[in-house]
Order: sequence, then C-alpha cells, then structure tokens
Amino acid sequence: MKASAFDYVRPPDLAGVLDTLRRGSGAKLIAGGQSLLPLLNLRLARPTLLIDIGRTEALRAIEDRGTHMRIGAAVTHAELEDRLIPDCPMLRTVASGIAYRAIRNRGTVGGSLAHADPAADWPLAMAALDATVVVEGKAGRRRLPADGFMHGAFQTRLEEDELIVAVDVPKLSPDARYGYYKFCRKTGEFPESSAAAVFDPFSKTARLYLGALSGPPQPLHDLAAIIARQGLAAIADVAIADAVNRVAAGDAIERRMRCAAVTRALKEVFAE
Amino acid sequence: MTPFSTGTYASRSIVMAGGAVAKSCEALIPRLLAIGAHLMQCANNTVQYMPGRVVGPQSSVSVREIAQAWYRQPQLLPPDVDVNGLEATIGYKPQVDTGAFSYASHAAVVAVDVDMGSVEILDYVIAEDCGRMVNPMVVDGQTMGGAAQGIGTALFEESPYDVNGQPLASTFMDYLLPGPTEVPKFRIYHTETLSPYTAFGIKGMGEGGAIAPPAVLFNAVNDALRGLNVEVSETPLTPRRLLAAIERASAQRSAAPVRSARE
Repeated sequence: MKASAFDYVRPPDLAGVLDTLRRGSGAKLIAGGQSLLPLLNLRLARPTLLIDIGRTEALRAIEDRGTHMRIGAAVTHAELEDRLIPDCPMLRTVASGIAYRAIRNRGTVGGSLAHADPAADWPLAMAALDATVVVEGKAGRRRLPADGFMHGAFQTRLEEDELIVAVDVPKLSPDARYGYYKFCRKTGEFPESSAAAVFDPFSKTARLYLGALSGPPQPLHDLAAIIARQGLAAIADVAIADAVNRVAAGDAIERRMRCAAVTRALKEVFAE
Repeated sequence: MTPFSTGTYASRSIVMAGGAVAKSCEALIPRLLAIGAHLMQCANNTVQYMPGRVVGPQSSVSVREIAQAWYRQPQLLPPDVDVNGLEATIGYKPQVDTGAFSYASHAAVVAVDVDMGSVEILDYVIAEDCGRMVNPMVVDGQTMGGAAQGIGTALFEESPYDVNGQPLASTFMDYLLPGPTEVPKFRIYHTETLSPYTAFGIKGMGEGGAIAPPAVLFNAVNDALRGLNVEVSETPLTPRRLLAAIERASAQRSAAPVRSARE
C-alpha cells in the first residue's frame, strides 16, 4: 500500500518546527521514519502534514552537561552505537541491539520515545537509566522523567504542540554496572521479553525494569533494592517471579520469559 | 528458449529440460558435422564431433565458426545444407516420468533455550543425492535455499487467522521468514547415484533441501528435551508452542507422584 496524500515541510530551525507544529492540525513529526513510514504505508496513520525534524541542528547534538549527557532527540541509534560515551556505556549497548543497522542508521532516540512502542528499547533503557525527557511546546520547556513519559501502548505525556528536544541521561560512576537483556524471535524483530538493570553503588542507584509488556516498562524497585543490599546470589528465583507477577499480568509462558529476561539482565550486572 | 510447457515444478526442470536439450543437441550434431566438413573441404565421413568442435583429418572448426557461417555467411555453406539450420525443437519423456527427485539426509545439532523457547541451530549437515550433478554450484545453491525455506517452515512461517477469518499475518512484520542470521552455514555432501530412467542419470534437485528441516529440527529439539519428557510436533515451533510443551510436561511431572502414590 501507499501512504495517503500529505504535505511535507522541513523548517530551517527548531523555532520553525515548533511554529509549524502549533499551526498544523493533523501534523506529524518525522525524524528517521522507521516506525512512522510503515504506519503511513499501511494507512494506519494519515497525517495531512509531515514536519521533518531529522536534520534540525538543535536536535542533533550530544552534549556533556556535567552531571548528565544530553542526547538530542534526532540523534540516531547508529550514532550512539558508533560512539562510546564512557559515563553512559549502556547507551551504546542498547543502541547496537536495536533492530538491524539499516534501521539504526535512520531511527532516532526521540522518535522511539515518542512512538512509545511497548517493546521498543529506548523507553525501557531510559527508564532504567533514570533519564529525563526534555520537551518543548507552546507552554515552553518541560522536563519529564523517562519512567512515566510513556503511559500506555503508543501513548506519551506529549501535548499536541510539543516535541521531544532531548533526553538527559545521568552519568554513572566508574563502579556502576548495568545489564540489558532482550529476547527476539529473530534478528531485527521487536522482543518478546526484555529487562534492564542499572546498579550504581556510588549514587546508591538500584533500578530494574521489565519491558515488552502490554503497556509501558514496569519498575521492580523493591526487588532491586533487596538485590543491592544482599547481592543477586541471595535472591531466590521465586522472589524474582513474585516481583515480575506483581507488575505484569500474563500466562505461565509470558511469566517464564519475563523472569528469564530479568534474571539474565541481573546476571550481566553481577557477572564477575 | 523453451517451447510452452506446464512449468518448473516437482523436480522437472533439469530432468525434462535437460533431457530435451540433450536430444536437441543430438539432432544438431549431424548438421554441425555437414557444415564443418564443408568448411574444412573434406568428406562428411572423415569428420567427428568433439566438445565444442568438429574435427577433420587435418584441421578443426569450432561450433562458433560453424554458427558464424550459418547465420552470417551463407556463401560458405554446402549446397545441400539442412535448411532447418542450427535450431531444433525436440520433445522428451523419461523412461519413467512419475518423478526423478533427489534424496537427502539432514542432521542438526541444536541448543534449546528452555526459558525463552528459542532454538539455535549449532550445526547442520546435509547429504544429498541428485544423480548426476550437472552444475555443482547450482546444486549447492538450491540445497541451501531449500534448507533455508525448510527452516522457515520449521521455526517461523505461519499464516494464522482469527475466529472471524481475518488473516493475522498480512505483512512481513507479522509473517516471519528466516533471515541471514537465522540460517546456519550448511555443511553439504553429495553422492551421485544415477537414475536409470533419465538422460545422464539426472534427478531433480528441489526436493532434498526443503522437506527435511522440520523433521530433523523437531527431532533434534525433542532429543534435547528428552530429559524433560517434552515432545513437540506442530509447525512452526514458535517460542510459545515450545514453552507450552515444556509447561505441560512440567505439570505432568508434578502430577505423576500423586498418581503413583494412589496406585
């Protein structure tokens, strides 16, 4: 199928993008288009106007802001795959596992967060990293925690006139460990189950999230806190199963996959 | 060029087209000999056909030179030249025409992830017998392609419908095919047992690759899970099907001691 008719604009700067977004009802932002284009071609989405932000300079930067890294919304997965940010090493791990390289070359961090596919990598990873989503619209700039930015399948806290400008990812200490595990039926597919864990003794961070659910990623904070105190070896499988079952309904098969994803992410954290 | 026929299927292409091509070549050889002999100015009965050439007592001419004479230099042709030229259309029917197809044995080593329900193919060996291998490169290619298709049948490809008859896999987002990372490097071996019924003992090449993978992969998975008393048999072997079988077997195991206690 082919997309229904739409107009296309590429405003010269962020002010122009915001202005166009404010005026255009039925407008949709496009950056890498890796989720939007299939939706257009299947006519599941029929915007009348596409506003291209893929080359908007203000959205393309990766900046060191001292306590955190600011990742521009239109930074591609491939750009994060090809660059090790020493204080945020998980970004590279996650980026390099997204779909396959052709998609990573075009798909963007902001696009993935705004699209809010429950099985996508960035909503899960950014929640685990305690990142903050920086959005801008009519009312000015807002900062929203990545955990909760997505509040349902394909639903976010973005207002009609807002766009994601950047994501602020806190730097980890050299002692920090992270784990990221996802199971996909084949290379390039969305995962059947996924989990992310970030433990940083320096900042007393213990964050553990379960992804690929029917809605947004779910935190397993209590479990993470116990593990941070007692170590993974002290944790029984049933404790993990209980924590997983508390945040996500599902049948025995889904539970099995989710527990395994959580366990494997944790094993990466605590690997010798 | 082939005259109209019913198509390429059921291991027919190389058997039927190969046989017809051979018969056509046999029909052309006397015509090549006649033109070749004339070009070399010697008697027809003193020349013979060698691969690609007509050879006379003192010299030889290539098929290319003979074709050049027939198509472009008619003044060089013998006066009694066969006016059908260098084209022939010959039908062919093998002695037994109910199918001459390849035989194959496949063996696989797999690793099963019993938490995710996934199957990784660690090694895959194919022993194949297509009779005379006419083009070994094509034979290997068709074996690989067939086996890849069979892996799709075994593990990925499915067209489910919902209760209202709505197809649930209408795009490649939902209909999974094996990609390069899902297809292992096959180790392929050949034996050549010639068919007694076809030209050159050729057998069709399509059947050996695609048919065996579901059987061998399911057998390998069942062997891997023997200790769990799991048996799977429904294609494709999705993670959900595999995990459901593991869950069933586990439920039976925990039920078993209760039963034996009652007995």
